[in-house]
Order: sequence, then structure tokens, then C-alpha cells
Amino acid sequence: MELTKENILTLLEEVKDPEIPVLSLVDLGVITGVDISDEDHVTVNMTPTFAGCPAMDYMKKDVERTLEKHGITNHTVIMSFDKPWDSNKLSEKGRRHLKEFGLAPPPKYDLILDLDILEHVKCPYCDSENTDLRTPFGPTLCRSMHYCNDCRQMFEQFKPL
Amino acid sequence: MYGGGNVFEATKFDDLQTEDPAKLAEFEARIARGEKIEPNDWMPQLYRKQLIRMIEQHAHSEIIGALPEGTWITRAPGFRRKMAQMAKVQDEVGHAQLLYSAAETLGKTREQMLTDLINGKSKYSNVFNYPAFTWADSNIISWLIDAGAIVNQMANAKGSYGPYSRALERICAEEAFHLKYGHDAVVHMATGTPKQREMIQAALNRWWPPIMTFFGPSDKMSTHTETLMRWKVKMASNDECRQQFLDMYVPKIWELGLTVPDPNLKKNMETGQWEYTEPDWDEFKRVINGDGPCNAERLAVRRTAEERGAWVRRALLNPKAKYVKPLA
Repeated sequence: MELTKENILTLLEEVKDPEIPVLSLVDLGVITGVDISDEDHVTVNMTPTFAGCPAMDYMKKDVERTLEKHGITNHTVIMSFDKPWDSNKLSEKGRRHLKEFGLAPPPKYDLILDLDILEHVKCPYCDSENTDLRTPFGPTLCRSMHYCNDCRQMFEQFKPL
Repeated sequence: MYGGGNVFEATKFDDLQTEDPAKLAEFEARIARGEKIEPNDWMPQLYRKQLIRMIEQHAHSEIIGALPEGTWITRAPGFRRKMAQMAKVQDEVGHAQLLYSAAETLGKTREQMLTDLINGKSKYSNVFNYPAFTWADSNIISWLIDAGAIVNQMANAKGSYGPYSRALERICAEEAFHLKYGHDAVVHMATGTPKQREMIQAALNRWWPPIMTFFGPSDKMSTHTETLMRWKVKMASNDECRQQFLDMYVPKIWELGLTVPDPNLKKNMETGQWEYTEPDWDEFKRVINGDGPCNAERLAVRRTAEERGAWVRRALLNPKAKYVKPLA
């Protein structure tokens, strides 16, 4: 394999969010950059979704493992907050996968994020907008919990941030 | 995590006689076709009752199960482990949220479920009536109890009730991460100092008997169980789950150089089944009925939470709002 930014990103597609097996870290937008030096040293920059994300360490290790599995041993993976994550960084493909998995994807927003956006969510199962916010904190920091009054299903939203 | 080995209510099988035969036949045909039953669909009373009981027990197990590990958050060794432990406990409570909502769609209110938990009427997984003495105990719970839960939930996720199976699919993905977290923590101890190894072995010895009862008593295949299996309420027998668990995890325990405190444990190569010392089912019954080391303590925590939070729930209730069928 030729060492290019594109190739590295393609193989990093293999690394999934530890709790959302359908979502790759690339689609999640936590891989913020890939650099290849003249000496073929690969640097991957990552940013956590939330500063307190407990899976941070695990994801970093997973990226390192995947690079090594593909024979890239000359690498550095850096987790930094220089480029903070926001939910607009989720790719279209990532959003589609989230919905199929039963998690409402965060809506895209311009400039200002307010509570209204968090409260009005489409049900990922039946697309109804007749839903209620149950709690702004779900099983993880990055998710809120909602209830659909039409199909009567509790669901989670990947929070807009 | 989940308390397997559901205790099914001894509803009289005759209950079925009162159901409309045409509706019942249509209901069974739908399940046979692999369709999901949704909250607004017709369903027999027996189906509704057993599902409420099962989902409710599961939800209670999540919040009570958060307690033995929750007490270790403040004492976890190091900042990263503290963060991870906190996140795991938060996950479990989130699972309870999903599950209570699923049970509510069947017509029992959350308030009633919590009241029944506190007054001892509804059960939760019996393993949580045992204490987590040390950090190592907490690790064994994170690894092996969650492993048992996954075996159980993977089976139940294929069940026929839509809201429950969808909630379980989501939950399984998170439990899979807990399992990695638990395994990582146990590996850390098992490859550590002699003192750490000793601690993790002692915790495994303490937890092995409860783990063996985790999937519930051996199956006595009654007509009842058969019906529940046909309706895809109960998806695998207690023994099947136990065997699958042993198959997957005993080798992993041995791999770490730990021993299982049961001299009779071995795989019979001819039958492909694990043989083991029969768990103490008398103790199981005694503990599940309230006489275990931690029953009183666990329920006291719930009761206090309920009493202290009562004013918040009152404040949230809007007297003008009309709450129609299950406030879910």
C-alpha cells in the first residue's frame, strides 16, 4: 500500500466507535488530520467528542492497533483539543448509519445551538416528530433520551453539540 | 447487565381459554412469520403479563446492578479507571430508562414498578444481593456478570416484542464495550503483582457460585415455558445460556492463569456439554426471597432515593396536564 493520506483514512474506516459498532471514527469526525512526513512517519490527529469521554484512551489504542495491523509501525497518534469536535463533523454516511442503528442523528445547525434543537427530534424508527425529551443525559455524555408518542418507542439521540 | 433466569409468574395456563381464538391464531401466525408485536397491537393477557414481569425485572437489575459497582467509583485506582467506572455505571442506569419505558408501553406505570421493587414484590437479578468487597470484585462483576448478561440479552433481542427487542439491540452494543472494559481491568490485575493476582483470584472465588446461578435454575419444561418460547418471549433455556457462558468464558479465565473454584468443572468431550457441581439452589431461593447478604442494603438505597426525590417528581407534575394511558 502506498502511504497517502487517503489510504490511511480508508484503513481507519475499520475503527468503529466502541459503543456504536456501525459508526467509524472517520465518519464520526474524531480523526481530525493525517500527516505523512518525508521519512514516512504517519501522524494521526484525533479529538474526543467530549472532554470527559471515557472511551478516549480506548479509541486511541484502537487506531494504533489498526495502523500496526496494516504494517505501519512508524506512527504517532495524538489526542488533542486543538480542533474541538462538534456534531456538524459527522459525515452524511455516519448520520445514515446512526439512524439505521436506532440512534437519532444530531441535526445540522448554523452558528447557534439551543435547547430547541435538542428537544425536537425525529424518531429514528418511524420518522414521527411527535416526540418528547425524557432526559438530556442518556447512557453516555454524548446522548440524550427521547420518547416517540406515535410508535411508543424510547430512543436515544446522538446529541447536537 | 441483566439478571437472567427469569422467574415467570405462575399464571394459570387456563388464562388462554378466555382469549378470542381467532385473534390468538392471528397473533401466533404473526410471530411465526417473524413479525414484531407493537404496543398498540392485540396480544393475549398471558403474553402481556409475562413480558411486563420480564422487562421489569431486567430494568430493576440495571439500577440495582449499578450499586455494587457504583460504590467503587470514589475508590477506583486512578483517574482513568474512575472515569471509566463512572461511565459504565451511567450506562447501566441509562439501560434502565430504556427498559422501564418499554415495560410502560404494556400498561404498568413506572411508579408502580418502582413501588413493587421497594416493597419486595418484584425481583431483580439475585447476584446483586452479594457484596463487592474489593476493587477486584467490581472488576469480576464488570467482566463476568456483564458477559452473562450479554449471553442472555443476545438471545432475548430476537424476541417478538418490538420495543423490548429494539432496546436490547442498543443495550447489547454497550454491554459489549463493558465486557472489554471488565476484561481489561481483570487482565491488569491478573498480570500484576502477587498481591493483585491474589485479590482477583479471591474475588473470582467469591463470585463463582453466584455466577453459576445467574441464569436461573435448570429448566423444567412445562407447557408454560413451551408457550412462552413459541411466542418468542423466552428465547433460550436457562441451561442453554449457562452452557454457552461456560463455553465462552472458562477458557478465557484459564488463559489468565486463574482457577475456577469448582473441582468438578470440565467439558465432556463426548456430549460437548460442561459438567459442574450443581449450584446451591436452596441458597438461591433463600437469597432471592430476601435473606441474602445485601438485600436490605440494596433496597434501602432505592427507598432513600425514592423518598428524597419525591418532591422533584411532584414539582414536575403539571396538574393541568392529562396523562393518558401509560405515561410512557
